[in-house]
Amino acid sequence: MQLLFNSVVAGSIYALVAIGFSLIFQTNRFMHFAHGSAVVFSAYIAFHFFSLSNSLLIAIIATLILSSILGYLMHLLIYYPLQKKKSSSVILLIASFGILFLIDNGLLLYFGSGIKNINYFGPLRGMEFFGALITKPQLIIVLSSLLCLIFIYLLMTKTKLGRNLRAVADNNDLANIMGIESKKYMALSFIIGSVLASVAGVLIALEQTLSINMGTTYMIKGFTGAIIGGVNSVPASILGSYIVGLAENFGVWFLPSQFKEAISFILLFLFLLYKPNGLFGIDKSSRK
Amino acid sequence: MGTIQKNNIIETLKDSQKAFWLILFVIDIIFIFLCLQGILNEYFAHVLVVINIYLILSISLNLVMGFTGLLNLSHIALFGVGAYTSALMIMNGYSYLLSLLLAMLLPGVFAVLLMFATRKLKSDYLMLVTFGFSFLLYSIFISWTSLTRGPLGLNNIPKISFFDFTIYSTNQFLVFSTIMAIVSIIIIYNITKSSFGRLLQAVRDDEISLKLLGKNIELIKFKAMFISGLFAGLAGSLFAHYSQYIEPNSFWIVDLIFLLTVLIVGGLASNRGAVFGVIIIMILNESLRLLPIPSEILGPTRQIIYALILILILLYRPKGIFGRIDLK
Amino acid sequence: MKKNNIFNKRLILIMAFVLLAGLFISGCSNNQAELSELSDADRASLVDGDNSDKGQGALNREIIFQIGAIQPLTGDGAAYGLPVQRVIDQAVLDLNAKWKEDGKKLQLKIYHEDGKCNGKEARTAAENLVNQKGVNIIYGGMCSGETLGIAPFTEENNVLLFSPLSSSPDITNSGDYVFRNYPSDTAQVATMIPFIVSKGVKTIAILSENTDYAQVLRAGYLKQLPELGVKIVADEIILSSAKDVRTEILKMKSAEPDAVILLPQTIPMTGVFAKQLYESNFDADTLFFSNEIVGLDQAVNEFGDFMKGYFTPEVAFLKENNEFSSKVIADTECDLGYYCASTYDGIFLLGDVLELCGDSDTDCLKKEFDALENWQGIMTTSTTFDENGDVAGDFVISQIIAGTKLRVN
Repeated sequence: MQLLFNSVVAGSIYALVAIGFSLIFQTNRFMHFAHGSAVVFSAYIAFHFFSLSNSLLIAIIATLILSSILGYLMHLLIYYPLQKKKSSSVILLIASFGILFLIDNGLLLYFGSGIKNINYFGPLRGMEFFGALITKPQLIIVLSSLLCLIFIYLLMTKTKLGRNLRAVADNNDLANIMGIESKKYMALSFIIGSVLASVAGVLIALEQTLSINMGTTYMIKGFTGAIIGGVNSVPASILGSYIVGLAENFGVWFLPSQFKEAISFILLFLFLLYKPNGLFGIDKSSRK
Repeated sequence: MGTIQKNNIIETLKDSQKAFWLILFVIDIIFIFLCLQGILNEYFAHVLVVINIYLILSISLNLVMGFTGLLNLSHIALFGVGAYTSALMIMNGYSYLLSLLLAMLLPGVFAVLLMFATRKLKSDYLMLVTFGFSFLLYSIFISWTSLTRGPLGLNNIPKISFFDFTIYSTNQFLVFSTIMAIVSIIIIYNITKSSFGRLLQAVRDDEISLKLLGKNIELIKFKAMFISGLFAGLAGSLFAHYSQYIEPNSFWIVDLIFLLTVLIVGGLASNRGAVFGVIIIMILNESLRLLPIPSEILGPTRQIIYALILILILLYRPKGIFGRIDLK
Repeated sequence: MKKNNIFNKRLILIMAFVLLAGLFISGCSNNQAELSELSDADRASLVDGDNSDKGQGALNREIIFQIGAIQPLTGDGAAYGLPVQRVIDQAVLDLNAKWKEDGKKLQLKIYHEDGKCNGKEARTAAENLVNQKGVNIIYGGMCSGETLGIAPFTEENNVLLFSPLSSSPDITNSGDYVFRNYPSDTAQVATMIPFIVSKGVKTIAILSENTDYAQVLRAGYLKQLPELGVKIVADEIILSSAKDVRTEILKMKSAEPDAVILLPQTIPMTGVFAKQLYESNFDADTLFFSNEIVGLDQAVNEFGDFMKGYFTPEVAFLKENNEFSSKVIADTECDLGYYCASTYDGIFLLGDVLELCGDSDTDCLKKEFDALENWQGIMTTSTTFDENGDVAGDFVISQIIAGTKLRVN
């Protein structure tokens, strides 16, 4: 039971990262490796504003605003000019490494290398809940994630904005012909993706300690989840992330702990062998 | 008018290609001479050795990524397999030649196995799975402590010696690694210019036509991966015996990013690009040491400058400096 | 037309590269010429004897000793590397001030390079420092990977490698010119084990990070505890990048150990271990032991609430109730306990040895290092190097109580 809960908590954070990643991937068709940096950036901004104002609300609002600006800038200044020149996804990947270096080292310069902590809750023991131990922050993580996920789902399916986004993700050229300005939506995907990353960042900041290099780990888990679920579909990515959470925690229970991270990759491997578009994914092979 | 222009352009292209290799070779020989004479100190020899080693890695990766169009991120792990194999073999008393052979074969075999498992995958997924493969190998390097000593790494790796001759000094290693690098360049250059090379590019550009012609695409891919694996192993062996210390971290993210960067900046599907990319990025890295930056912000500032220059190069020449193709 | 454009752009880039390469080569060669002149002139006067007498005579200008320092200034290691760098700079300032006060016309100059916690990077940095800047002493590396990557090079080139912090046991046999100021793991394990046994522990669980120092400690415990009748009921190894170890802790908890040993190596991992262990509601009787990382000020300040009652070893070198120490630590914002102290004093140790030998005679330096006995530092108590260039270590055990530590033995 505890295992199940651990998996859900882990999966929730991965899911937040995964949706942002898969949204950006769908609309822009490349791996935005710097997504992890957006998570770290948000976490540090949250810490900064919290220490300045001692108000969690201000910290959250500031984080959301600043990270959406960051997302937009990344798109505007770097990715879009490259995309205009029809750069391949590998070039964009390297560019995203460049952005990752920039953000990580910028944070290092400004905040220094010591770890940071938002001690909003103070030391907590787990509370008993159906045979599993849960802490308040963990509960908040799961609930917030669920809220976000529901919100995104509704956004993508019920609103015009969402439908247009999906159209651009589906088929960029066709969408343009139909009068949807794809540039606007590609930029929008970055903003939404970064906002999701910032939610993940804030939650992580509340629950764990901050260190500059933590972004890459979450990014890798996030996109593994996205791929396993099916990177071409947002709900599938979410499910994939929870599967990663489950696999890691149940796997570690039975196997030596050193192989925890390897498990998700082995899983990825197996899934892609038998289900190349992910578990629930939609086949987009016509685009390739 | 059209044909004459075209011919002139082709002539100029050919000339500039040959010119590049010639100039590079001459400059290289001059450098080596200066190092051997002691006019340039060991630091330069060391940088050249590192360039040589990573050069072998980048041209072999280029064979698979640039020419065959496979988004393969496992190369750094194959580099590691070669390094560990060579080190362990020699430390267990085998001769260098045998160790080198195995250090080259093993990555080649792994590469083929990986390709076999992923033969049906499309490009982006292939990128992810090969990345995962690199991570798997990293996990093995760090966890199989009885073999690799895990995070402690292998130290006191002996230098290369065969036929009673030990490659002892950095200058000697410079000569040795340059010979290896030149041989590798020649072999891979000839492969890319041969009909097999054209086949590879056909796999990248027009798989469907190839299928219609009845060619066994998977076999072609296997061969390409095997060859690139061989050279990754060669580079690994050189690295292990030059630095005399290896650990799992040497074969993971930092160096993977470096490898991809040099390949992209140099330009895919261009041997000149792969070679030039290594040289320019290494020189960029080392030149950053010359900037007068106050020590408290030294580290991060250098990285930021490096990242900015990288992004600028990409914005300026998105195909890479010598690049001719775009990978989908 | 299009081809022309490509050629233009390409040519420009190539020319930029050639320019860069030219700068790179020319910019360095100059430095080299200057420095060797200095060393040559000074070597003679230094070897002759005591400097302070010659102040007015042969030397009107100052002798500037040059050393290189290699630490991880970016990446994962920066959490340790950056504070250490600050301490080094402060120590150099203080040493120069002290020399000035004593009337000695000596100055220490230090060049920093980024080791990035990577053997190849550290080696290249060392090559640059030694060959281009002309240093003969390298103060570093910090990560063991850096030190082990540099050692083959320094050994062959008669360069002294003095690491204030590297902890891998392999460094012991890395060379004659390699010295380090950090006690090896065996001392720590030897101090903790009797203490653990004395607490009546019969079953124990180990939670360790998969990095060199932590694994060496783990191996020590794995081997010696069973010999004294303590059964190891759980042994979890965690990769440095992991953020969530709750399931591993669950495994440990279900084995119902009397005690838990925590062996992190990075501070973030310390936090992960501490917080998640706390949340997991171990039996109130469970005892917690750890390595010295848990006892570092930074860890105690950030996670002290989660680690109440933990027993942690600390190097006995650190002088207590030392106002000067506190000032240095506050000024440089180095809250890493012994690491700060040994780094600081290492500079003064080097200063003393440099006074005797100058900075270019490595054999003299080696001799002086070997000859040091109970060298008294400002922040550490006493240093003596053994025949392998290691220092013996004494550890004391403290217990974390309400944000501070209390000595227990």
